[in-house]
Amino acid sequence: MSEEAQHPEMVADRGKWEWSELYRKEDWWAIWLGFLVLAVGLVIFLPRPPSEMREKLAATEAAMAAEAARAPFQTVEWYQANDTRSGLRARNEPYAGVLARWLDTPGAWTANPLESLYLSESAAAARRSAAEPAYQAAQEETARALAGAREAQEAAAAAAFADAVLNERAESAIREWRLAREAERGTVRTLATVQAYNKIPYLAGLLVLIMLFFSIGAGFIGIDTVGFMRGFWFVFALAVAAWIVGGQANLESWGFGGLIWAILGGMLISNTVGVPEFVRPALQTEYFIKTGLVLLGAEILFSKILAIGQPGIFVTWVVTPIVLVSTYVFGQRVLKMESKTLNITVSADMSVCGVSAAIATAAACRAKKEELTIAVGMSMLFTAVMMIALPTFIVSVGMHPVLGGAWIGGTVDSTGAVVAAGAFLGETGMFVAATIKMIQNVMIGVIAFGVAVYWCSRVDCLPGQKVSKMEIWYRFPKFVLGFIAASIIFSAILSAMGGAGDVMIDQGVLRGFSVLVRDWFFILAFASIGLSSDFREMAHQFKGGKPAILYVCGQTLNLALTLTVAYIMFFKIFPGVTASLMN
Amino acid sequence: MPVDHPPRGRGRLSGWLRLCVGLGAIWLLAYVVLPWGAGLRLVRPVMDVLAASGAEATHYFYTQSEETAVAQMYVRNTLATSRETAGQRGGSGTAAGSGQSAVPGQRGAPEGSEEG
Repeated sequence: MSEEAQHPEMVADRGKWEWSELYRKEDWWAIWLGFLVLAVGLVIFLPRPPSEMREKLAATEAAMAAEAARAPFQTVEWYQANDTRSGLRARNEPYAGVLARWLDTPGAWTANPLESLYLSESAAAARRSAAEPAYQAAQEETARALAGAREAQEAAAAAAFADAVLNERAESAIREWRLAREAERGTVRTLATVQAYNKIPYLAGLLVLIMLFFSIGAGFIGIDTVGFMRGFWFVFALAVAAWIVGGQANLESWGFGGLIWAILGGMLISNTVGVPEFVRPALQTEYFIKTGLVLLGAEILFSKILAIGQPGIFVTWVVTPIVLVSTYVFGQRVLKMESKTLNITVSADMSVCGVSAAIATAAACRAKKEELTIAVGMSMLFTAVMMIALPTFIVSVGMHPVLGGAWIGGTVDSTGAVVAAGAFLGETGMFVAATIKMIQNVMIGVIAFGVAVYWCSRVDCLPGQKVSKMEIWYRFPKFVLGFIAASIIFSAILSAMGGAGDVMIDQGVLRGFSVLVRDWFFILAFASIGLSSDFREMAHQFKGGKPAILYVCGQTLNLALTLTVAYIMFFKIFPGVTASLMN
Repeated sequence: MPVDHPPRGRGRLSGWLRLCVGLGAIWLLAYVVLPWGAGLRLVRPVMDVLAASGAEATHYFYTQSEETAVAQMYVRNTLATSRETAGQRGGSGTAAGSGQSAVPGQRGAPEGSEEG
């Protein structure tokens, strides 16, 4: 029997390219549709910057520079300039508000799930009035703390900032003001400023828009377009239901959001009452995920890796690949995992950044849906545990907040959990944690590309077969090209625009538009995964608990290595960065 | 990706019962298990901070997180102004982002007692 007959799942060398693939293949349609969304975003936002944007940018930067030269610590005026700079956002403009309303997901709720879709004016007024006393108290506290901070700063300035005791008092008063300000802008403000809403008409409109959007390419790639449109409402309804479940206050606080409920809800339906036949043409997991990944590519902005300087690069871009490769090798050689795709998907989601890394890696190596489900499920479970355990440990041993923040950012999987855990360390710890996690997020592009190339050239081939460059090109998942191209293009645009890039691209096109669209595409993909998944297949993949053992062992290495490298970088090699952050 | 096979046919009533059990399990998780967990002595302090801050633990990518936007702006501006100040003072002040090592006890050096 020939080797090809023995391994029918392996692709033999074909190495051919047809130009018709550009309009017949799903990967290419994911690229065209993804870039269409990004282009629409650029056309909407770029011609409409906030008024006097450039003047405000220049003024805030000049103010921060002047204050840094005037005092040896960050003054009240420095912080106010930083806050103004941070608040300059294209997505705060009225036109962006219209987009946000159309793309909004069901909101948070506690006891009544309908509140995620509709809140009457009387109910909103009742909430505002109940929260008003606490909000007023918080505002008064902030004002009092600000007055105290100004007074202490003026005393220090009167001594030309040469008196260490007065300087320390001023810094302490300013920290108190920042804490009061943070408390004022948290949940209490959200409750005191809540407005009435009705999301149902927008959701109905969005259902039609997204259905038509994906129908554009459906016929070309061989999807039954009419069947797709007939069944799409069911998938969309499950996605909305998943958002609603994930918005329940207790579930949300533990990090169990819409994505996991889309999968679990779909699996519950498919493994109990079964999925109606008319829905099946709409279960286009890969079509949704690949289009979403092209949009995610635009969020991989390479300039972000310098956000916290060289220490950040070592903690993320050096430690993460070491942990990823070590965990994968451990999974193959020690645990002897049957599925390489499951191994790399779990290794990536544990070492890089959870769900988003799992999605990108699974698509790059063509993992099974059940494998992605296992990776995402485990990531969310362990993240919930680490979100509590890690900051509790850090505070209990009195660890430095910069070190603790870097440790959390480099090891806890999801950004939201990182922010939540980092908040327990204080403002600086949270800022460091969130920044480290952001830099790690940017790694996804390189990881996905590397996995795709490795899989095409080394894994998906017959033993001893040498794969030609043309064959690698043929097998390469083309949507990854769109993913990388979007990253390169948007990174270049952001760099070219300077400060305006943060306002118009990061806080405009991306956070104000394409991120919201991408969220919908991913949850539709996860709903499709759930509706086409089989519990038995998943149970088989989880046999022996090897994925969990892989995750735990890999995360143990991750925790040890990240802490070690973070300590060396932030305290031995670049202590000035730490000092600046704490100043 | 390989073609998925739908589950075998089951009795309709049995299927709906299992669906209800599944939904019941989600309800238990949301209203019994997780609130119990959030009330544990070690867990409560973190949950209280999370609730007060308004941070959303469900965000899985940095672009969804408001706090990340604020954090990176603060960190970037802090390091930028520290570098400018160090440059103006001829490197005698705070050193930021460079390979200069600080002597413990001097301004700008992290305090050893705070390290883990």
